[in-house]
Formats: sequence, structure tokens, C-alpha cells
Amino acid sequence: MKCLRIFSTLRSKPQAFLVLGALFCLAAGLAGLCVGPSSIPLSELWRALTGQSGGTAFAILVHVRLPRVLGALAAGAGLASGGAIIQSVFANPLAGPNIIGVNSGAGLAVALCCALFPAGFWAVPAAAFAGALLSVLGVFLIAKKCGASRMTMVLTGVAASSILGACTDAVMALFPDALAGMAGFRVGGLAGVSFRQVLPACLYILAGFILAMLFSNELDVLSLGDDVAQSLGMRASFVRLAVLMTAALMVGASVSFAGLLGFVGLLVPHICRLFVGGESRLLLPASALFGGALLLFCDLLSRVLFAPYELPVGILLSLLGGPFFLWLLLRRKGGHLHD
Amino acid sequence: MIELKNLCAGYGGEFKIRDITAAFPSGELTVLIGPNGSGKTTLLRAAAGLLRPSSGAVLLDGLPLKSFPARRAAQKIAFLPQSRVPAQLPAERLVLHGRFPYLSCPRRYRPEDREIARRALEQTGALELATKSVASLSGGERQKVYLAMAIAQDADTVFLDEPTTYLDIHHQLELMACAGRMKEQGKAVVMVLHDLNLALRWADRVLLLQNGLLCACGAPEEMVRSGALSRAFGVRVEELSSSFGPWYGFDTLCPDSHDVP
Repeated sequence: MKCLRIFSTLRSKPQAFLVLGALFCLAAGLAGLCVGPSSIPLSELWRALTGQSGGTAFAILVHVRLPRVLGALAAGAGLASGGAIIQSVFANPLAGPNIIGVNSGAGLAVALCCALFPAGFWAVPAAAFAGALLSVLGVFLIAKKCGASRMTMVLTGVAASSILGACTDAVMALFPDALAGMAGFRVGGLAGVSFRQVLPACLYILAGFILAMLFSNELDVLSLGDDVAQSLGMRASFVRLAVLMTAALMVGASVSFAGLLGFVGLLVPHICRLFVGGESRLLLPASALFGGALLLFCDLLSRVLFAPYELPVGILLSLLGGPFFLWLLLRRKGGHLHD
Repeated sequence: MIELKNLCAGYGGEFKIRDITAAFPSGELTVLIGPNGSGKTTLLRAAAGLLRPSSGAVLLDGLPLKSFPARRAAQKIAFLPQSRVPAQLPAERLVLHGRFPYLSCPRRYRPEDREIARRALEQTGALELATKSVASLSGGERQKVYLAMAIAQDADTVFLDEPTTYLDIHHQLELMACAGRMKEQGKAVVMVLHDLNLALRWADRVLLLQNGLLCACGAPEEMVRSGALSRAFGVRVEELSSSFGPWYGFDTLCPDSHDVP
């Protein structure tokens, strides 16, 4: 019952929900820095971060844990807030990065890049990003031919996803050697990410997030439907394209180093919506914070649970997130019955 | 003021309305009526600038509507569609978005926008719903909130597409009273109605559409008296006496048709 009371308090105070998300991020981030095959106590962590102690602890932190924690935070935030944008744009809680073909577009681009330029692993993030953008653009243009309504876009996205997925499989079948790493990419994981991969992606994600926050009113109005948006003086299809490109930027950048973790983009915004409602200026930061915290937490578990082996974070995410999601859905239904 | 000049419009090359010439003067409540599929909603959407005319023109204050930037047009014309996506926003936020056409460079709502939104909620009697999520409201409450959004938009002309559908009689009358107040504030209110009694009782002017053509236009009593109404709908109309003004009864043209198995 106490749990229910907290639940309803958080629903009535969106700011408290945001603060809670920030605290989760901080806690999971610190734990992610400290815990691992060789654990670093908090006191040591501070000294290593401020550069007072060199040596192994410092090396582990800077070269292994810090990029990984930063990567998890950024990818979680990017995927979740990108997913929130996509859900608002389609006014459909089932929409997500996977649905409109962003993930599969990025996946195909990465597969092609690995197969055709085996030496050019440095180009993978750019390829993922380009793939995400191109697939969104393609889906949008095809849907626009048939009126660009929400339903046609979702259907087009589903069709595009399966085509792009099939292409990826074909590339993998034809170039089995070059794609040893692709299996990991498809499941999604943060093992072995480096600053070189993470930092540019972080910048993209941050830029996308700021852009989305600046246009949070546009997002809200767009979620009211095309007729209302248009009668409020908005060019709905143009804004929809611009907003989807922003989402593709964030999702593509996340996918480029973390792999296909699309589930975060569906799960987190949906949960946040239950607490803060559909207002973009609250939903976007809430999704970003909880997406970051969730991915940090799952990444931490994936390292610790079966040490010295590592479970790819994507698997853990689905195993943990799926049941939680179902529990929330069932709980919400109960809540409605008692209203 | 919105004027229509020989307006033709439709979807996919097919005309739903043809050669409509009409005007919606301020301070008047104009009601569009007509049988199903007669083009009422098409006319409303074209007049509000949501549907590009195939030929003819929509004039806003004497100038072609398409020469106005979307934002400027939205400051002059508000349109409330019949079917809407359930908004997962608090009511006050939704109404505040009625000020969207007035947003300028730091894209934030100003205190005066909030004040206007609050007054609009007050005007439709929805102030106590301000913090509730629109998706959780009943149909009547939701309609009040959306109407408040249209009021907050502060446009000279307000188009409402079947605003009373799915409302109970109390909320229907409340909505019509609210539209009456908007009219008294000097706005041109134009709505599509299916309920002929509401239309005939509240309208200053009725536009009667049939098969995409404007077949009659005038005061409500005229419509009944000239027989245009009964011809368009294929029904008999009879004026009944009631203490709150004219009221009408309708029946099929041939009374025997009830008995046909």
C-alpha cells in the first residue's frame, strides 16, 4: 500500500519524478564507475577522477568505465527521449524507434559498412546515423505519397523495417567473416566502447535533446492531430518531418555505439507517460533521465551477474523490462477500475 | 471576415462542394445543415483553410486566404474538428496551446497568454478542470476545454464541426449558449449541426447544403416556411409551440412507410 501511495504522489508531482530520475542516474552512474572486476571504493574514485592518484585505478576508470557509463547514460537518454518524440508524433504508445524503421535502417547501414569497408570501423557511427536518417526520410516520403497520416506512416515503417531487416540478414549471410561483431550489435551492448565512439555520439544526442526541448510546444500541438495543429497555424507535415529527423539523430547516435537497444525507446517513455502525462516539456527530460538510469543499471547488472562472463545488456534489458512493463499495464488497468 | 467566392473543393480530384458563394459576417451565428454527405464538413474545412480549394477562393478580410502566412491566418481563424486525438495534456496546457499562433521567438508562453487561457477556461465554465488530463474527462467536459482553446486563440471567426455530437442535452445547450456569448463578443461563429432543432433555434442564418451545392440560405424560419428544409431532408416539418420559442417536429414524408415490413 505504501508503494501505491508513492505511486500516486509521483503522479501528482512531476517535478518530484524528475528529481527521482536524476537521483537514479547519479546512483547508477556512481555504482557503474565503482563496481566491476576490480572494484574501486568511492574515496578512491574521487581521488582518481581529480587526478590525484594515477596507476591502475585511474587507467581503468578513464579507459574502461567512464566511457561505458557515459555511453550507457547517453544511449539510454537518446533512445528513450527519441522514442518519446516518436510516440508523441504518432500519438501512438506502441510506436517506437523500431516501428518507424530507424533501428533497422541503422542496422543495415552498419552491416554494409562492416562488409564493404572491413578496415573502416571508425565509420560505423556515421553509417548508423546516416542509416537512421535515411530510413526515416524514406518512410516519411513514401507515407506522404499516401497522405502522411499517422496510420500510413506506422504501416510504412513496419514494411520498411522488415525490408531493411531482410537486407541486413542478406548482407550477413553473404559476408560472414566481416560481420563477426554484428551479432553483438544486433543484440546491443556496451562492452568495449571507447571515448572515441561515445563522445561524438553524446554531442549529437545532446544537440537533439536541446532541439527537441526548444520545440516542446510544437511537439505537444502536433500530438493533438493534424487538423488542430494546422488550425493553430502549424505546417504539420513539415514540423513532423523536422521532429522525426531530430528523433532519428538521437536514436541513430545511440545505436551507433550501443547497438540495437530499441526496447528502451518503447518502454521508458511509456512508463514516464503514466507519471507525468504527455506534456513534452516534462516527458522528454523524464524519459531521458529514466532511460539513462535504466541502461546504466542494466549495464551494471550485465557486468556483475555472471562475472567473469558478460551478458549483453540488450538481453538483460528485455528480460527485466518486459515483465515490468507488463506489470505496469496490469496495474494501470486495476487503477482504472477503482477510479 | 471570411467570404467564399465560387468555392469548389474536394478530395482526390473529386468535388465534394461546388460553386459555393457565401459570407460569414461577424456577430452572427451561422449554421451549416444538410443531409449526410452533402459536403458540410468539406465546406467548413475549406473555409478554414485546412483544405485547398480546387477552384474559387476563400477571402479573409477581402484578401485571398492563401496569401496569409499560416500563423497570421491562425490568429484570425479558429477551427475545431469533430474527431480529435485524445490529448494526454492537462486541460490548462491544452488551452494554453490555443495561444500557439502568437508564440514568438523565445518559444515560450508569456504571462498574458496564461491569463487569456485562464479567462477562456472561465468563460466555458471549465476552470475546475484546469489541472485534469484531457483524456480523463467526459465528452461534455472535453468539449468545453477544446472550446476554451478556440476562445484562447482569439480569432475573429470560429469554425466548429458538429460540436454537439455525443453530448447530452444539458451540455448541448450549454455549448450553444457559449457559442451565443462568443457571437455577442463580435465573433463570427460558424458551425455544422445535425440537430435541426438546435440549428433552427440558435442560428441567425442557416446555410442548407445538398449534394455539395448551397441550395438555400437565410433565417431559420424562412427555411422552414419556404419548404427548403423538408425538400432537402425528405421529411415533413411542423412548428410546435413551446414556452421557450419555436420548436419543430419532424416525420417521414409518407406516414404509412412505418408499416412497411
